[in-house]
Amino acid sequence: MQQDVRFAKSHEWISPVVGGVATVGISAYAVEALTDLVFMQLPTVGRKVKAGESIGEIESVKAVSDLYAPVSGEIVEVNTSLPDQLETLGKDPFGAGWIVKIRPDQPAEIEALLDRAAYEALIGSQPH
Amino acid sequence: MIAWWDPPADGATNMALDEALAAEAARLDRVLVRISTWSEPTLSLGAFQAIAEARAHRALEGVKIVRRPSGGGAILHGSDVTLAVAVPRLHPRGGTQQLYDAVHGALVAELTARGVVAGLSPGAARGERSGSDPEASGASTSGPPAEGPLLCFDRRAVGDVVLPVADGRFGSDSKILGSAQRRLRGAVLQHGSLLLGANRLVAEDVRHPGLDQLQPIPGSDWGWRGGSSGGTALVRGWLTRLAATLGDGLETPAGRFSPSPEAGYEEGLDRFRQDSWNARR
Repeated sequence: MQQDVRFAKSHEWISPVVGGVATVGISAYAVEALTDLVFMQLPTVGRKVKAGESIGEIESVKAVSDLYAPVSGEIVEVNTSLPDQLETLGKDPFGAGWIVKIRPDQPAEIEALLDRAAYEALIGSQPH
Repeated sequence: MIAWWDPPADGATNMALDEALAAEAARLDRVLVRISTWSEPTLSLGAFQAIAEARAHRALEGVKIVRRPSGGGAILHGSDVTLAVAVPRLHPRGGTQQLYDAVHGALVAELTARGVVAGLSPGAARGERSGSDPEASGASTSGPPAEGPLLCFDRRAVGDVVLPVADGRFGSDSKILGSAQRRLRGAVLQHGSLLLGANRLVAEDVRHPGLDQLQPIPGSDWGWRGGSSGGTALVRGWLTRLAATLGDGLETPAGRFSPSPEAGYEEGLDRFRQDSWNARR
């Protein structure tokens, strides 16, 4: 698990801001809990989102889950190859399995999210 | 656990009420259940199924279509009872497979107590894709599984409730309960469809046998007539066992489920009536 990312309680991770943009994905724990993935719907570039707003959906064999924006901002890039290569989410969730890039309105929102230790404590307490 | 048995309703109403049920489960931090039946034959599509496939199916011509918030395969409603179980997200049995196991295991126990031979499916059959595997340790590493057959009752997933048959469509068993989930921020919504009888209002090639055809229970009183089902001791027994499994008592208030204004029922009803939702894929 990367050391410098922050996590939302809904299992999205977000990287530090570089050049005004942060990268967002979902954690390895979330991918494992979803099991066999079958479909993914992503947001459009340019969409303005608020923290906690649904930005997409992902379907596994027996469950559909929402993807949530960890911070408020504008979607500036989408990993459009991901829906055709869902296995990438499991193989490399913190790298090639990134989902969107977002320009945060308030980068300080990232600091308010969970650090690695707090996120590991959270997932240790949750039912799969 | 609070359970309501609602009167028959159309597809949009049923879906909006079920989504509101999940919002209320999160707000109240309680397990809530809504038993529903359908006022007209309706096909409920899984959240991401392609509507074109359903519309191209000649046997489904004229059947109303609504898209569920939950995943899985399409259900042709009319001779089934639909169970919506909404569990707070952090409930100890709220994990994906745990909730399937709780709901399906409770039905198998109730059927067994009533002399019906029933069991849980081990999963894929006849080249079908498998369902979620409780033993699975991670995501697929060989690409996403292909989409399965249109209809839920033509699919097999680990833990589906099945009855043995001599010459069934799948050779050795016939599915009578399948489920699908929507995992929301505050709650998990699980839809389940228990097939009581074969839906005689639809063509034979999309008609699946139900309990009435496979192992009729003497004295059962559901009296389905292709449109609605009455209350049954079977479902009440199922709910009692489910409440015990989830570590709760069973409350069955009089009247129908009536969500609070903050549950978003009206907004949901509008969305489930629109093509922008029902034909989104």
